[in-house]
Amino acid sequence: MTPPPESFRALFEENSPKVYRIVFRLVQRTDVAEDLTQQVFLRAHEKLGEFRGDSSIFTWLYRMAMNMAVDHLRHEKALKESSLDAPLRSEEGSATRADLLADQSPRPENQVENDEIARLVRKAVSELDEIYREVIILREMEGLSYDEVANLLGTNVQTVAMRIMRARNQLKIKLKDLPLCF
Amino acid sequence: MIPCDIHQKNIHLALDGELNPVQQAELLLHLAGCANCRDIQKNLTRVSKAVAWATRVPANFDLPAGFQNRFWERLDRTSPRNRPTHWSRPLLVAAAVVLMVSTWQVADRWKIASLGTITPTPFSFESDRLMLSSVQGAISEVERNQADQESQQLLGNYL
Ligand SMILES: [Zn+2]
Repeated sequence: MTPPPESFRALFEENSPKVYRIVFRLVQRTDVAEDLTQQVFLRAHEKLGEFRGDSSIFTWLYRMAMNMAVDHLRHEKALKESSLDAPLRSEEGSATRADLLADQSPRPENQVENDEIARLVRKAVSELDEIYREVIILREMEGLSYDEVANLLGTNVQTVAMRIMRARNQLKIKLKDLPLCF
Repeated sequence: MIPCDIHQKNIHLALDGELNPVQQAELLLHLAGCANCRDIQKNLTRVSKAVAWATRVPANFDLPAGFQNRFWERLDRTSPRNRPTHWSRPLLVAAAVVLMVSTWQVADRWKIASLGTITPTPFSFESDRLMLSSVQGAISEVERNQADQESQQLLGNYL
């Protein structure tokens, strides 16, 4: 069933900024984030009739977005593709990734290395099982409380707490050899 | 006495701001005297900060300019019949104009006599042609206005 056009417009306008921001967190490139966000909504437009309402519409979109971003991260080549010269914004004269990473970085003396470390951290997150990845993204990146994460994912606070512990413990192992100076 | 494994779970909760003040005080007290839990806390804090750092967004982060228009254009290319833009509005307006003019003309043809008898006036090809051209003019005008608006919108995105 094709969704009514105007309701899809409302869905897109309300959710695209949130979906775009989460995708950007993982891919750190505006051009890729835009492309993936658009793909999410193209698929949503196509599949909206199949949405069963088991979760909120944002959770449905969020999971699609995560899967696409993670898929991108898994296939992302090392520094070659995540060049420091890649623009953060499509407009002329905008900041680059190097500008973004210049502050609060763990090793300010070496931005190329920082960029690679950041990429490896994101890759480690992308390699978590989906149930762990989604809670760590919502908690660590979006800053949601356990209660908010539980509501969004349609589960309870105890489950969220347990998944976050496991996610973080797995990340601790994956990141143990990275030179992080926090 | 609270065992280490409980404190280790509480380290996660403390990182996420989910511990109450009493539990927090108990954890701090334990960490002061337990090197193993302190080491775990240090590593988990490092992980938490690393994830936040590697995935942060710039200040005043927002959708890029023209993002939504580019999406509708892409949707139009993949599924033009479902595009939820305002294209349907001029057509609705045009349809309403056709309906109004037709109704007016039918009413005009059927003169209602004062005594209640209805006498249809003869059809005139000339009046039909005039009506048709006025409706076509109205439709073209609406479509032209819409096209102008869309062109301006598109230009606005790229200028
Ligand atoms: Zn201990």
